[in-house]
Amino acid sequence: MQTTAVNWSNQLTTQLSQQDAYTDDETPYATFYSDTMSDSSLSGDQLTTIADLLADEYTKPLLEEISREPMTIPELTTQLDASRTTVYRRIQTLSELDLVESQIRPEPGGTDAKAYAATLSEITITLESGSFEAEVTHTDTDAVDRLNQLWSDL
Amino acid sequence: MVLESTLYGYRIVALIAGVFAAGSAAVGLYIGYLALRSYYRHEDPSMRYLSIGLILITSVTYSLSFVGSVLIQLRLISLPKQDVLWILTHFIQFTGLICIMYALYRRD
Repeated sequence: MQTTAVNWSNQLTTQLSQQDAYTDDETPYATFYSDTMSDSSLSGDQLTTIADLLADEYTKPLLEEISREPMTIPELTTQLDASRTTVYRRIQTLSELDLVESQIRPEPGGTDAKAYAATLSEITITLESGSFEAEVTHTDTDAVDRLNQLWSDL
Repeated sequence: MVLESTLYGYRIVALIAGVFAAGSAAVGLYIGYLALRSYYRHEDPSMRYLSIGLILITSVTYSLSFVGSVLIQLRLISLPKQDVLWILTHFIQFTGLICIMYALYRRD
């Protein structure tokens, strides 16, 4: 049995639709999630991408860093000892998968910095009836963050 | 007219107005509190003025007019004093709006 992320991710080609990914009796989690969490099912392709991302030498530490506090690309570049392009590409892919979000951080100098925060909280992967199924739990922003976003967009 | 009738000696219309005034005061205070928490979380100084402004134009003024209407209902204040309260309410509302305008303009 192959257990590494890269190996099994290559096997995942089945497309999963939002609807048939889970039936009610297979999602006991739903009742345990607090209302600050939101769930979304992943398509097979997205799951493969995420598995590849987590196997990547930069993406995993990157996600770990920005799950603690939002960080800008220059900060991440220093922290991960990676090139700016490397960090930017990882952030871009993560953004497309809705695993990170950008926040505007006001700077005293005048130019606002764009900081990135992880919205990923949990990935559940199950193998059943010949196909892998995955569900992502996102940490959700609360009213305070939304008010701040609203205010900074004015 | 049902609005003009009384309930336990209070005019229905005043009671309804009082309920909405209290509701506005509570909701205004809550939004102001969210803005204040946003200020502490994101440290955007303009957020503090937005918070103060919101609390002033909603919570403080509604509370003041609510207290005022109760005092009038109970006949505890005279009409000239009611005028003072009226001016004070509008002054606080004005101050709150100035706070919000200042918050908008002091942003970087």
